[in-house]
Amino acid sequence: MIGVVLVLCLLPNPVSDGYSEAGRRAYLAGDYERAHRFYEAALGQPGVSKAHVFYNLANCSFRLGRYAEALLHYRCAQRRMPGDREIEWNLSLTRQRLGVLSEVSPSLATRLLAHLDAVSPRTMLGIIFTLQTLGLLGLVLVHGHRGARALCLAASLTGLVLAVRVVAVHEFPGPPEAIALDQVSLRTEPHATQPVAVELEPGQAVQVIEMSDRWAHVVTPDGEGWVERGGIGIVD
Amino acid sequence: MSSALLAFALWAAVSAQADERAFVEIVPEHTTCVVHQRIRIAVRFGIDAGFLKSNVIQQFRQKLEVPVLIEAPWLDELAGAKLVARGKPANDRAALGFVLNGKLARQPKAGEVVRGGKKFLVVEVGRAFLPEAAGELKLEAPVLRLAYGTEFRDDFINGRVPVDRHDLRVTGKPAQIVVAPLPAAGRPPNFCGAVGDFRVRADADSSRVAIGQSLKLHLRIEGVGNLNEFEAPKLEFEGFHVLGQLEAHAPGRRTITYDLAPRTNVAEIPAISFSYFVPEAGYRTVATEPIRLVVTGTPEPGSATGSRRPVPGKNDIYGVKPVPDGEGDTERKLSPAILVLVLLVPFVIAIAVMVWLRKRGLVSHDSRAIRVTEATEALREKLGRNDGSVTDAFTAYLAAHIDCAPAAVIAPGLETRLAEHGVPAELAERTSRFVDSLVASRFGGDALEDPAGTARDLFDELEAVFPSHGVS
Repeated sequence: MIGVVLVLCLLPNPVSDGYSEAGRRAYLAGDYERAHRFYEAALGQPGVSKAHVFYNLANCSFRLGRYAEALLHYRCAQRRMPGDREIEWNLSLTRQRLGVLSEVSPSLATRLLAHLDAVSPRTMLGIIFTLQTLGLLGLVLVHGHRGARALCLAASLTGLVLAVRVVAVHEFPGPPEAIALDQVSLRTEPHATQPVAVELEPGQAVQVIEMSDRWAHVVTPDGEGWVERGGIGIVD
Repeated sequence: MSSALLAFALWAAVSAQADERAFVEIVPEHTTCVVHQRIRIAVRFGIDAGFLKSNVIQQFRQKLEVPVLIEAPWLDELAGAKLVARGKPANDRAALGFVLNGKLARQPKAGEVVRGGKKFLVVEVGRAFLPEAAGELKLEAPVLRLAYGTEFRDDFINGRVPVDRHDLRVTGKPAQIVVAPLPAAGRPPNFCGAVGDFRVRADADSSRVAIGQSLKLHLRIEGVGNLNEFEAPKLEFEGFHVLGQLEAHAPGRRTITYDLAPRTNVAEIPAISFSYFVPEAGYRTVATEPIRLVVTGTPEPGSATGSRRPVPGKNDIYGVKPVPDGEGDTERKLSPAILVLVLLVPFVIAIAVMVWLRKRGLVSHDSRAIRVTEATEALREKLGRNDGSVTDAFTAYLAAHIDCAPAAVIAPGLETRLAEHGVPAELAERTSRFVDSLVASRFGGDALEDPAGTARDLFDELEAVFPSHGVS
């Protein structure tokens, strides 16, 4: 039964995506604008790997000289594939073009959590189910071997901890990150007539506290304020 | 005629009054400079501290520490010069907020001055410019505006509110900066427009490469001047291909990374010569140290060749990735029902297995039997390892069989209790004596000779007489 659940969880969806392939061909032919359109269409398709599509979309934006947009898409891809060296390199080159300083290297724990969070919920549920089942069955079946019982207990507890993490990430995700897509005015109040506190540079990362249709309340290293919603892209 | 005189007298009075309460002035770093010389120009304004506290009125929705408007449009755009540094807005608590050219600005207090016996709070806001051509930079007179009241009343909700309102406009003096051309005399041939005071150094990321293999040469230029505005030095080294270059900028430093590939067996990366103009001293030329290099004869596999093509991972982005069929956003959404199911099903499976095992008699449902089994396994393990004292394991084993706490095993009457659980009298008596000896040796009595061996013998004999699984 465990095997069946694992297989069901890990099997890819048998969906093929023509937009991605068309985007790849256009990109290789140097038609980046067209490739960009195809990859944008691919994003709307169910069953494709969004991480790869975001990465390719970012490449198109980079080639078109839209570096802030490229930065946004690379961050979206990186969130889904943390540790991918190609994304990291392209991201650093994009930041260089924008003149944006690189982020401080995350700690080992942060990197591990990023990897953990990047695992799809379906796969994570499979892992939790396996750990829980093996752990509990071990506790029922194994007697007299304290080491083995401790191992089973550890497996079961790990499953529970992973479940808590999954719930925390999906139900309480925290403030989203956003990227300034152009030079954006940070105002003290959500109104165009209010004084501008600071100008955000293209590619600058901010944390979004709240959002309406037109305005977003954001926090930057220079303080907090309001920016027009269209001037930033959310790292989703 | 008399009305004109009256108007003039009123204007003079207002101007004099304004000058007594606030001032605004231009503070240039230099009044003469050369083309591309970084120059800081500031607007400084001050307000009579007592007047600011008692009379100046807030004009905006956001309460400002210094509710004045400063108009100096050239701070944002100066004809003939490029704005290169705007200066970070100060956001600490000590910073004072005011409006500069229609936008909120925050700057720390520049100090206090005393003019005409009054103490003025002074704020300064500056920008760095690079003059782009010889001539004059004209700086229009800055203007300071504020509103003030002379009478105030206390309001229950809003506190102290002005009864009257007056506008005050203070105009500073215009200024101009003379921009001289860079002298042609003594200009080095490799001069690329750097004006300021700089230091240079170079280092390479590798000291051993194969012919055609690329290496990174970092030229670091540090100092004060038009650091990010001049052209990067062009490298034309004998025996090297220059594949490309990338730049990184940090405050006070510019790093130019050249992608080089040796064409022949060169012994070093030559010194890089860098010329710049120091406004007070004229042209200067400095050079980096040559960097020793070992070039092997053949290119290493997988290395970049001598072509000028952009190389992913070196000076270009990696290409597109094939998109595998994977999970989309819908799959990334977690269903709480499935999570609950995933957490509950293992418990259900475990309980079902336990019930099935018990029904089949494969495991005892008696807690005492479980205790006996665990104690027996623990003692067997202890005797098998033959390490340390067996006292605790042996007493726990006996306690499990005679159904008492381990501490109660050493109580009087162990012999009788063992006999009640089916142990022959002679074996019960030997076991009881052994337990007494173990306890005595633990608390300072004579040490037993081979207690583990004795325990093993007794354990074998007891196992033969205790009922199966220890259940009586």
